[in-house]
Amino acid sequence: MKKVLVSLAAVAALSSAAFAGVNSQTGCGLGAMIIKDDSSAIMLALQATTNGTSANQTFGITSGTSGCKRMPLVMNDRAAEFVASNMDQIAKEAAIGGGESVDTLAELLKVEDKAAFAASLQQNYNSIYTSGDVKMADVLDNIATVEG
Amino acid sequence: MYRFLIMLMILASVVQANVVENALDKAADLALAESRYWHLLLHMPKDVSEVDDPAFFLAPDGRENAGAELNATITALYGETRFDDNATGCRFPARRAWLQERLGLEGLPALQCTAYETLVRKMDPQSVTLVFSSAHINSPASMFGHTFLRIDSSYESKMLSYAVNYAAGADPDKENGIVFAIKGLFGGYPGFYSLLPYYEKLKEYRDTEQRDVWEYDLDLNHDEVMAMIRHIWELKGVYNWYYFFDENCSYNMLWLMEIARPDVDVRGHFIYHIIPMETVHATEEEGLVHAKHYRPSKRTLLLAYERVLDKRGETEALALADGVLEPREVLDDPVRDAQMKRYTLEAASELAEYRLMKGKVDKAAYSERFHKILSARAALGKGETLPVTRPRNPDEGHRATRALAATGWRDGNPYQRIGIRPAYHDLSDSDVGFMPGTQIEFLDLEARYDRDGAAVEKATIVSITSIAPQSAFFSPFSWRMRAGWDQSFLSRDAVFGTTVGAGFAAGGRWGYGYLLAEPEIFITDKGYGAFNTTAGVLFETGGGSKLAGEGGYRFYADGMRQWTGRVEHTSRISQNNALKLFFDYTEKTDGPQRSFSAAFVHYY
Repeated sequence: MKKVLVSLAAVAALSSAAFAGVNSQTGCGLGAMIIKDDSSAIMLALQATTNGTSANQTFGITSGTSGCKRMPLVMNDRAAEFVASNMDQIAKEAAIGGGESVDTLAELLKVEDKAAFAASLQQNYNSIYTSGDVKMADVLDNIATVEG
Repeated sequence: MYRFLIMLMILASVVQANVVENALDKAADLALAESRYWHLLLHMPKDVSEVDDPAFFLAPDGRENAGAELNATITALYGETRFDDNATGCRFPARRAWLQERLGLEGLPALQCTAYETLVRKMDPQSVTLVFSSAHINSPASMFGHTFLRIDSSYESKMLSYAVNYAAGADPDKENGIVFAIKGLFGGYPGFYSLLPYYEKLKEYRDTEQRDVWEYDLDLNHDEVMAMIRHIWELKGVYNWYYFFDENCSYNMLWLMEIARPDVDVRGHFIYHIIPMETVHATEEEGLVHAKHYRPSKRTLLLAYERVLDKRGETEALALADGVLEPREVLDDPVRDAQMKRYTLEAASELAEYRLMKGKVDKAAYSERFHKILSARAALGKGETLPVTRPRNPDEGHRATRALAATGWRDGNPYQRIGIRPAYHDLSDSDVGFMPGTQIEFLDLEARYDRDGAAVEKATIVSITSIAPQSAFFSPFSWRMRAGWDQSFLSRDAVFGTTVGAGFAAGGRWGYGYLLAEPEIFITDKGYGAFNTTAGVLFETGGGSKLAGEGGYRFYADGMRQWTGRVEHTSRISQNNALKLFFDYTEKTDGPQRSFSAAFVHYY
């Protein structure tokens, strides 16, 4: 757990300002992609022709999330990137007590006991997700505190 | 000293020239320019490359001259003037690796391909998976699905893999839908390869578009995977014009598979149009698939919650998502079963997200609501895992092209029908591997033969149907459009008609029923307008077989009225064979017409 703490401290040490744009709960989560109400059957029928996508398609290894600023490289920016992009999904799985995203986060943070990690996120849900507009950095920081 | 240097340089360039000369000769001796792999590297099925971007070629005529491109590549590899990311060898690692393997290429300059190396380090490529996302509700056009490749790493979690996607560089939100479709069909957009974390693709397809996702793990070893990665790098930022029917998302993945394992010929399975699911079939036939996985869409999850929740739970979940019920009230209910509370809150959180995606709630209200719901859910501890019924795998579904041969009686006289339909699925075809209630047909052609000789029975240009049953959490409308010649009007000849209609459907495990109102335009010497009201039912009769019935009452603009009815039973014999029984009743100007027939149907 020490290792986790160190890397998380590194993430959390970055001021929130560094995460401008990643800050809102859904800044680059699901909510960033709003489905428009399709107006007509014809439109629906035609829309699939090119698999065109309004998502910001990139080539490379940036997080590629629309609405997310590229964050400075930190010791575990993979975890930061993952949490920023999956805030809602991780919140949901933390509340339920486990799931693929929580397991992924455990793996990124090099947590040995995934089941215990998931249970702990559920037990400490309110201290990790402190409010509706909690920031990614705070979530990671709170996890570090809880797990520490 | 100075003279000595000049001498050295001349000497070096002579030696260099010799080395290049040797390499070119050896390539000519081995006829590398004609080899299959060189053509794969150039995306050249025959004599012309499908890549439209000039940046992809080193020779001025490289796009249509494989030999010139080969020689230009060898020459450029020896004549590097930059030794960093801008070097030819760094831009074309797959070409460089293959030429080194075939020709030895002694004395190639050492390069520092930092960008490429960084990418490979971060991706950590170990294996490859072909990913298929199926249809999303109410959009039968998406029935063809979408495929992309996923590069898996040493991480246990597949969410951290990278998706290689090929898509048109167009934004459907900024384009008029019709223009978008037409340009997409005829190559009006550049298509690009992209690379994104898999979790981003899951958010896009599984969550936002609510499409079930199927994964087919490919049996490629590490060297084969690396060959693919080197080539993917070469395609970075390179465009091809995107063609919906052939040079589409799926087709461009086939090149990558063949680059990885050149002795498979997945592209050879296709002649004129590429349907994404067909690429999965081709991949399976080539023996590349070794495991399959399923990820339910957001919609599938919500429907699963509908199954486990009682009426009260459904009502509460909706109220929670709408913010008119406080999660605390659900949590503190003294008599309610704990598991029912858990499911209610879980479903409510999914619904709240769904509302946000639909733009029905603003982000601030959603965030607070979502947070409260989850906070209440977390207080209830670990419960049961939601049971999700896994649908039949799309690769068990029938193939795209349908051939039909039928025999029977029309008004007591024997008649025969033969038909062909290049794509893709209708309501009466077995739903194994398909989303029930969806139909999309292109060029459904049927000819009949009776005592009067041969005639056109039906010639559908396009027909699209979406029957989407109402449920506790979803209230989609159902709709149908059709354009083509058919037998359903008052005339005994096939008449051209077109319609776009809408209505509602209700369903359950037994099947579904629907009501539609369909204004029609048809072209005969007697009239041109009608209004059709139809009611239909569809019963699953087990084993992928089904019974479909539909009745219609048509009001013609000139005051005529007409009853029509049909019953069709489809028995699924195997994945690609079925028996159909038809009964048709159509009122004609000279009295009712009744047809009975039995058909054998084969899909390929």
